[in-house]
Amino acid sequence: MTDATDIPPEGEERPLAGEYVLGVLDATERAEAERRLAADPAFARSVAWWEERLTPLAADIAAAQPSEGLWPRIQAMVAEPLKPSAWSNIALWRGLTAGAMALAAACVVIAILPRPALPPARPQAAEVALIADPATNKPMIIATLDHGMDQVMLTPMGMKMPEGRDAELWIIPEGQKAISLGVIPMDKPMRIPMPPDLRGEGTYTALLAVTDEPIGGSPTGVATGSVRAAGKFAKA
Amino acid sequence: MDADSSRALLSRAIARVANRDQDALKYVYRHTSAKLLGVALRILNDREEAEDVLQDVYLTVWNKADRFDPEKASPITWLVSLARNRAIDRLRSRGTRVMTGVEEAEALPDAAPLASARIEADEDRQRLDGCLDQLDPKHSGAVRKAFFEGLTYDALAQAVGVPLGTMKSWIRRSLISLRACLEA
Repeated sequence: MTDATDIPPEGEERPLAGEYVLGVLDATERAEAERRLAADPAFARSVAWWEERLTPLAADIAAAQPSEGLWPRIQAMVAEPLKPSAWSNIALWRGLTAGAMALAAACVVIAILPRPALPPARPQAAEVALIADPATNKPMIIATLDHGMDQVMLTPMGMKMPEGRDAELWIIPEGQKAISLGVIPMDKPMRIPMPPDLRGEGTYTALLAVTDEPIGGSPTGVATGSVRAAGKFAKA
Repeated sequence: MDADSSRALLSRAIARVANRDQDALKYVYRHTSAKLLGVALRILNDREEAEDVLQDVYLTVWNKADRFDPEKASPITWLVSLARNRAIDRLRSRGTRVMTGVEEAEALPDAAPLASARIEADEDRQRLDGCLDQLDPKHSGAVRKAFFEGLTYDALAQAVGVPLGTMKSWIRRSLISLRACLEA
């Protein structure tokens, strides 16, 4: 906005930090202020000053009880079972995925429910992998093998990444290092070419895992974030 | 519990969150989520969106607890600011979607502070109230409305029924007066 009304009162500097904290800036000005916040320590101090002075107003806002499901949702997302150092520990992976396997039988039905966005192929149980949150065993992604198309179909089940992080899918062939299969969307199904390691015996021994990585995926080709979900294809 | 010790406990819990202590995060959640949801709900008028904001806020706390410096800010200021910023960003990203209830909200006085929800030392609050009281009531009303609802100058001017330039002038003059008064 550049109309004449933007001119601050005569002889007075525009109180931009206060305007930012108060929340009156539009999206563009706000983004601009946030860039400055990161780059200009004096401006950042000014913003902190206003936050400390104006926040007492929040005492007037009536509290509201969050719904029961909110904390479990947050808890599931912060559950951090493994550090990248555990990547080579295949025995640990096996243990983690055992629980997910137990769920497989019950959850296969979810995978074969008709979904308008997906092709009509009905995978067999043996060709479904539940990629589950290691802490809660809740399936985060269902992977199905499509031998006809030579693809793996990935169906996210409400998985979320921390803000500013992408989900990257990895395959860990038994006894080997993780190989990236790329960044995958969390909000819609996706098909990826069949990785060579998911053929033959590898179908049931290779582990699929999802880590949170910087936007665009791990810059190094090695997982840097936390393991958010993992699972294998179950042998019928 | 008085404000000072609850502040100290919250600061200590956030420090433990920085060490990846999930119980500490739960403590922070238990003691602040109702307040933060109130803050986000006031801005967004949509429970689902407000709860999404809360989820983001606590994940940010989880990931960036080490950035909280108890020497520089009070924990509740840090948390309320996170929640307000996320909620305002969300409100802006809605674009021009028409909000219901803006006019009704205008007619409603702010809920009286709940004794149990007092979140800052009374001293800070009294100082701010004293400074707000020195402003023209229309101007201080606009400042409060802006803080509570996260409205842009434009939306604020429309809601209050004054020209945009008038609203900008009210808010900017108010901020300049408040700064002088609060610094004194």
